[in-house]
Amino acid sequence: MTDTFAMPGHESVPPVRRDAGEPRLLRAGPPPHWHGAGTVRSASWTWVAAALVVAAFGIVTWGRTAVGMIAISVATAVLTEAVLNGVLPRRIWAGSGSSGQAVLTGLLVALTLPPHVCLADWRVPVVAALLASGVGRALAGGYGNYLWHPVALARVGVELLFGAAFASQPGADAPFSVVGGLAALARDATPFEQPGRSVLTVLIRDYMPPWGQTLLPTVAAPEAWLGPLGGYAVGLVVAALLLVWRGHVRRSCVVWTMAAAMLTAMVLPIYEGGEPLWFPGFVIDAGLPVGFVYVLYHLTGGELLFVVVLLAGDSVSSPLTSRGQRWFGAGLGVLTIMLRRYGLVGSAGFWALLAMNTLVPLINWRMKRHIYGTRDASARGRRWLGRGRVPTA
Amino acid sequence: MLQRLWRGNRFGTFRGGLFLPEEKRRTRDRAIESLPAPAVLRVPLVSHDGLAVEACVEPGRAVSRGERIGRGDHALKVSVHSPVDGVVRSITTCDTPEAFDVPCVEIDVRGPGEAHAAAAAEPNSLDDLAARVAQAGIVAQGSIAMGGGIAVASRLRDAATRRCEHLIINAMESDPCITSEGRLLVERGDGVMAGAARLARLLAVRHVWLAVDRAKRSLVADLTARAAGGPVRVAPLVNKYPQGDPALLVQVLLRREIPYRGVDLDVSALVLDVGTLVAIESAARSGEPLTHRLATVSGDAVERPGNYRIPLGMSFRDVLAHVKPTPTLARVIAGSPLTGVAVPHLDAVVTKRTTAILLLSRASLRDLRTAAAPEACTRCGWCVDDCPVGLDPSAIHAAAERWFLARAERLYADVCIGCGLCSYVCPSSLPLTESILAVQRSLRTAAERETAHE
Ligand code: SF4
Ligand code: SF4
Repeated sequence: MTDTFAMPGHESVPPVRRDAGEPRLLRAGPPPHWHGAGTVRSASWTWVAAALVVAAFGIVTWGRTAVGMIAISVATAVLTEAVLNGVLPRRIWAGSGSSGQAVLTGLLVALTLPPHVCLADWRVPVVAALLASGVGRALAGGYGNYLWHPVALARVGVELLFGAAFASQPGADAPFSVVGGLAALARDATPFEQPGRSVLTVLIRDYMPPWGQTLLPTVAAPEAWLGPLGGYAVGLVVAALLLVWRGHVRRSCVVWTMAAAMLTAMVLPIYEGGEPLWFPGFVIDAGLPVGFVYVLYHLTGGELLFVVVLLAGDSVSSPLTSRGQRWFGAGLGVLTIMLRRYGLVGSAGFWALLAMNTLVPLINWRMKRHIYGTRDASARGRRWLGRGRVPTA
Repeated sequence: MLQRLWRGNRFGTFRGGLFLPEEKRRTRDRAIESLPAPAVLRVPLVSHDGLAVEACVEPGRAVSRGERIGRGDHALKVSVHSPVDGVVRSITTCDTPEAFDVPCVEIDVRGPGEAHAAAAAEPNSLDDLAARVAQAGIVAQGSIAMGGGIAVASRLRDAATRRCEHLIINAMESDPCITSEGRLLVERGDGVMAGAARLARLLAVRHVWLAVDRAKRSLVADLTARAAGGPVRVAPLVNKYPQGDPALLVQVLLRREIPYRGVDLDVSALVLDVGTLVAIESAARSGEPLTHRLATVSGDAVERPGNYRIPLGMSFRDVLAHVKPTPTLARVIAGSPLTGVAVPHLDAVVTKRTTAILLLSRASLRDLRTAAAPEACTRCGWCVDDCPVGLDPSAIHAAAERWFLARAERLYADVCIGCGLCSYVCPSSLPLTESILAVQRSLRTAAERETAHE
């Protein structure tokens, strides 16, 4: 196939004398003649591998339920994209080709869903995968064109559509799961108040599951209501290492998100005796650093780590430059903790991600790299927003 | 102050860029050899894009080595000399890696000829030197984007009329596979130092920098010893691609940026590469014109890789006859793997701009058309992060696809140095460099047309 390419601008190649046995040269395009190892296809399958690491934890914990959910979700996503590839013209749908994007979408959708919800209503994974592939990607013009991460969109979509199913799950409204317990501190900490003890000590000691279960949970843990993403911090860290090593997730995004979340959790007040107590991250009770443990729960419990590792690093819906990614990550970390503490929404991480996705065009606009030789030109053309007018000289 | 202390001898590096596979092992220790001239040479009468000089010989005339056969009097038109003793067969056309149907002088070779005799006296003014360099037909090496193909004499004259404080000798060799300039430093290090000292004196510059790859420790030590007591300061730099670009050398060494649409002299610096410096020194000492091209021949489809002095006008077929391609040969590239031009056929000839000849097999060739079919941009940002001049190649490519030239110009498409990194890293296999350079050409043509109209 490569032999048939004509060189641009070289269409009138003169007749060429070729001696017998002389090598036949490939007609060539322009430079470069080398290409780096990365392709969209290899990137997609690396993401699938990272998601599979996390899925493996879910399968070990949930067995056939998790396998069924993953199968339904992946099959729906693959079918949806196959139909869309056949139906929609390339003009409005860039397609997903053979790059494994459909499999990845289905897999990620499954990982965001609580297994009990799916057991109660089998339509949840189907609708979620349809929303991700059909609405999140197809309506946005296909891979490379969407603004909001399709999986996060699907997750909040099914939560709104199947609110009853989500609310009816065992433990969903319990104040004693990690996220539920942490959120309760923002409103009313009365259940945890004991004379002479910090509310944090009581919450952590008497109500919350052990912190270790956010790393490697068991089915018995109250945290289980969050489904396969409820607390697989170890799996997510392995996935993060793989993605950062392969260059698909920028280290700066992960680091800044977690750092921002940590700082926010350390600073935002909890309520003790009806009074706000600022800087809970520094609380030490009877020589125990309970404030620090409280921050650790925030970081490894709930959906924060999952969103940071497997969704926020998605290249299409995150900023272009490393500098932009830092601000994106910082915003995501702060928003997640704030929504978790004061928000009315259930899945703070997904909402925070969608909010930050919305800001990506603005971040891209503001966080441009300095262009060589244009320092004066950009200074001259600077406005209150946006910079870099072209000099007319 | 702290920054200077920290930097000391460490100059830091620029943002973006990549450490590419070097692939220099095959040729870096091979001494420079001269290739014997074939029976016929077709010496192209062109050094820069599309501008030919006039032949000053006619068919049947005997020419000797170093004799002028094409007269040039312009920054983009430089004189051309015969690389051999022979007889002019015809004034005809030939193909080069960069262009088709280029006017050329076809010479029946009679013998290699004698190297040029010593000049009467060494030049003692910059004008004198510039005149000799012009007579010798020396052009700046490197790609067009990096100022390659422009007459060095006109650059020297510019330097004489403007304030020039820094002379930067570029020996970075940041392109993969290319080793010829490193060999020049090893074999003719004293000549390089003498040439740099002469230029420094005539240009009255305050600082002379010799930029070398700091990973070549023994070379750095050797050059530092040779430079002791002289005006040259050896600057060992991190050899991240494309550190060898003049714009980036100025940025790293002087902490200045060449202004938008400007040249190195705008920041009081003159950047010359080692090959050019050696050619200038030869012209100054013996009046020897530029008749041969020093090029690395490498790649995985060649049996005798090395660093060769190749007579100008020698066809790639004749070069290959000497260096012996393997049966796996699939593509011949004139230049580096990232910026070089694919040779369309083996009758094309070597020009003053052929910095390297790479013979690649199908297995080692991974251009955009053999790597994977282009897909939609995934906004991964790799091209933005790795662009050494801070452009957004994905946005410029998107504008170029719709031929929104004004938008591409607003995105500073003409700052691109054509290093090829964006296409190299793009996982969607988009031809980013190609479209950006196409936009650049159109902007240049439009500007020229506008100037002509005025
Ligand atoms: S835009 Fe130009 S300078 Fe930047 S990476 Fe691409 S080719 Fe190199
Ligand atoms: S490297 Fe390619 S896919 Fe990535 S942002 Fe640039 S153009 Fe898009």
